[in-house]
Amino acid sequence: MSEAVAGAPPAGVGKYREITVGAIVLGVIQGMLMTSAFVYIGLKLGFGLPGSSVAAILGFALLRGVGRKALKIPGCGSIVENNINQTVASGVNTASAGVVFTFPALLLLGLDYSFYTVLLAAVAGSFMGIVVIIPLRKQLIEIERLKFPSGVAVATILKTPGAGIQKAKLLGVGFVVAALLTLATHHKFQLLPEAVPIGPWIKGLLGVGDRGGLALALMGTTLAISMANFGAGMLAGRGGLAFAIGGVMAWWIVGPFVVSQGWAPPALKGDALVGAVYGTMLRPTGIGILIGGALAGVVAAFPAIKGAVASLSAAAKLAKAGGQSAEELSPKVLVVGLIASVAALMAVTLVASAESHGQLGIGAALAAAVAGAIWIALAGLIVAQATGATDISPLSGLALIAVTLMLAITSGNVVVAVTIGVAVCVATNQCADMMSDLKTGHLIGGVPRRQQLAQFAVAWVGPAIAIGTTIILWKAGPGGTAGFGPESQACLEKLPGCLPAPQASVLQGMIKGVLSGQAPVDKYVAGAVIGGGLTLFPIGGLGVLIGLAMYLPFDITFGYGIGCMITLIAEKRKGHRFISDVIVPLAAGFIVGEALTALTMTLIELGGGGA
Amino acid sequence: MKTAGYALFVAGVIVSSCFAARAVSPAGSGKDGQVTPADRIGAWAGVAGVPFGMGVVLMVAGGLLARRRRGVGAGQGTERRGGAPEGAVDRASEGQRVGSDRIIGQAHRDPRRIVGDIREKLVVIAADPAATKTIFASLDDIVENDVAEFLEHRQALIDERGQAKFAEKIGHFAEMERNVPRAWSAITDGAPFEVPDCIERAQLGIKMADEVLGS
Repeated sequence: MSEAVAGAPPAGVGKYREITVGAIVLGVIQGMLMTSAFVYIGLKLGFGLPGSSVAAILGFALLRGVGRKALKIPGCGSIVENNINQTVASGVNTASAGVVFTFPALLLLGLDYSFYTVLLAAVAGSFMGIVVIIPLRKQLIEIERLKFPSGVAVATILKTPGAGIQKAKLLGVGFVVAALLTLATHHKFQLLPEAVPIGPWIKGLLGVGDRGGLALALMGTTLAISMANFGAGMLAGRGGLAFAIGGVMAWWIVGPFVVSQGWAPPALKGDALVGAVYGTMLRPTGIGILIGGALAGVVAAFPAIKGAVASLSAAAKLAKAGGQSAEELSPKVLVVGLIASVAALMAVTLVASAESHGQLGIGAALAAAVAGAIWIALAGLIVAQATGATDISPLSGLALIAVTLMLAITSGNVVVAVTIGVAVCVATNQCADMMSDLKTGHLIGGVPRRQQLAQFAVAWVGPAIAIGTTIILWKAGPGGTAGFGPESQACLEKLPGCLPAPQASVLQGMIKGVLSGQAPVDKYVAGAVIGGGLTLFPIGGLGVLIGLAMYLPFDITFGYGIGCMITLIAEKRKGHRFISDVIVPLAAGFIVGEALTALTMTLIELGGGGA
Repeated sequence: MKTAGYALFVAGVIVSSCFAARAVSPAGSGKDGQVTPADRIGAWAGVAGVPFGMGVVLMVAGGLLARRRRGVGAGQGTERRGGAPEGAVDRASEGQRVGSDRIIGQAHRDPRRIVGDIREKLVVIAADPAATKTIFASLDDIVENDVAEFLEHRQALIDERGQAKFAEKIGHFAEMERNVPRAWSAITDGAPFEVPDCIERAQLGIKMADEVLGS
């Protein structure tokens, strides 16, 4: 460690590198590559992947290794510069999940759409996701102190050079354990099952049948072998317990009760019964609780949000008076951004309506735009709270609600509904990612304003790449061998290379369901009332946590809860310092190890012609 | 009473959730017999509305009771210990001593004392910016011990000061929190020239937090 200290950098060394052309260009390149790859993965497998940890590790190799050592750029690859790199890369990549969950539904439904309208919607959503985070950052990171496990994991990676050998070793141990378990459970090797069927084993031992409440509770009780999930629970600790308790309530009390009352279809048994109770009862009620919890949470936290916005203004004025640059974006950006986003959404609504030969007037377009903007803000809060507490994002559920809402406002105009749905989905994913990146920045000393400005600068890139890649794959796929459209040779010949676009297919089915009156509106409304009531309890974000627990299968909440318990016990026995010295690097290793191994395996498989 | 509030709340959540999940098959009143949202909500309310409503009432009553008891507890705590927040008082009495002398999950320095300690450490750091090894350890200590302990008073401070005041205070505190790890990162990156500016900002943040805390 250098002993030379002064208030100014030595000759030949620039200022402390943070937001640099190199970090942004590298971030954009990584982000573009990840976006293309993740769109393909999303259409193939139906899930998105996080890009922050990949970008942070590559950033070290390229900025520090190549930039500082090979190109001799002094100070290149600093911790805060690499943070900007990973912020940009993951910010570009967030559009992949937002687009792939929604836009392909328009293609599958065979409706007329305009590339530019969908692109404008996605770009507007991308910017709006960053804008709504401005006050939420203070609320969720500084006031509510949410954990953001992935953000902590990335910060742990970034801090590795100074954190000491012990923490680096623990990070490595966590990484290796998670990587080995991910490989062992991977379908190529199948050395271990993906989930441990604890309940079904007990059910077999007790000789319980396939029907009834007890059977449902036992059949639903499985434990996913996911070290990332386990690690997220470890990082959340006491704050995540409500989520685990919500899972227990859903699967051990509510589910068995509805079955025992004969409310589930009587002909169903075994896995079909579990699927029906989960899909038609627990999941929609959970979505409703999420929404009600978030809405009531905004009302309950209004004084704090107001205080947070006021402190943003005060900080901006103080910095101006002192001749310094503010560390945060001013509330003016929030106001201007919101107005611009509503205007863009209104333009999207009008153009999409005209293109689809709809009859939407200015009033309806304005209503749709305002409702879309309000929903983006609310969904942004939901997804930020959910990822902040659990690292899990209910993105697809929120997209389904957005499209349902838009179908109601636009009297069933599917093109407008899905186009606004694209904006909402991109925006909410942007919120989750930006929030996690800001948490990383908070832990390593990044300036929030610089992170937000970097993300603003590249917010248009991801949507363009994601929509372009989707259209290419729709037309024929790479070399005509893959893809998911009618011209795809793979789909025509029913080859494995045909992409099933699972999330968009679910959305397509849901749109048909809404149009035929099958949307479970009763569950959404009842759930929202419960979510509102949960806010009365003196634990912040309880509605979102319980809602998310009902929205997810129990194997996830179960493993997460075990992680929380381990941290609680460790904190009680070993003290707080043990958590930061041992649990945090180990859990960060679990999260990063599983994410990188899963990504590597997926790319290897897809690269090999992919089944 | 507090336990009764918690019990009512949990019972209410369970009852309302069970009946919220009640499946219905409504008759359609829309065009061509299509089921409308109103049909669906009406059918559900007809079979599950009353028990669901009772569950919600239980939940609301329990939640309000739990909140009220908490507020009363906060006031009593402050009175007992001459201004120390309730969380620190009540939890310290229930806490367990481990390791050194730190009570885990329970703060045992009051927030103003912690802020004062941080201010002192920052003054020492600012006085000798060349001692990077000492600074590094001191910054680590602020983040891992002082900040962590201060945050254990979070809920007690919200209860005592209200959300708006807490938001203002924690904003300044967070400015210190960001600049301390920034100085840590700068030292790690071999950029010690960044440290004085970070420490200056951190000092300003903690000074303002102290002022808000004292007001």
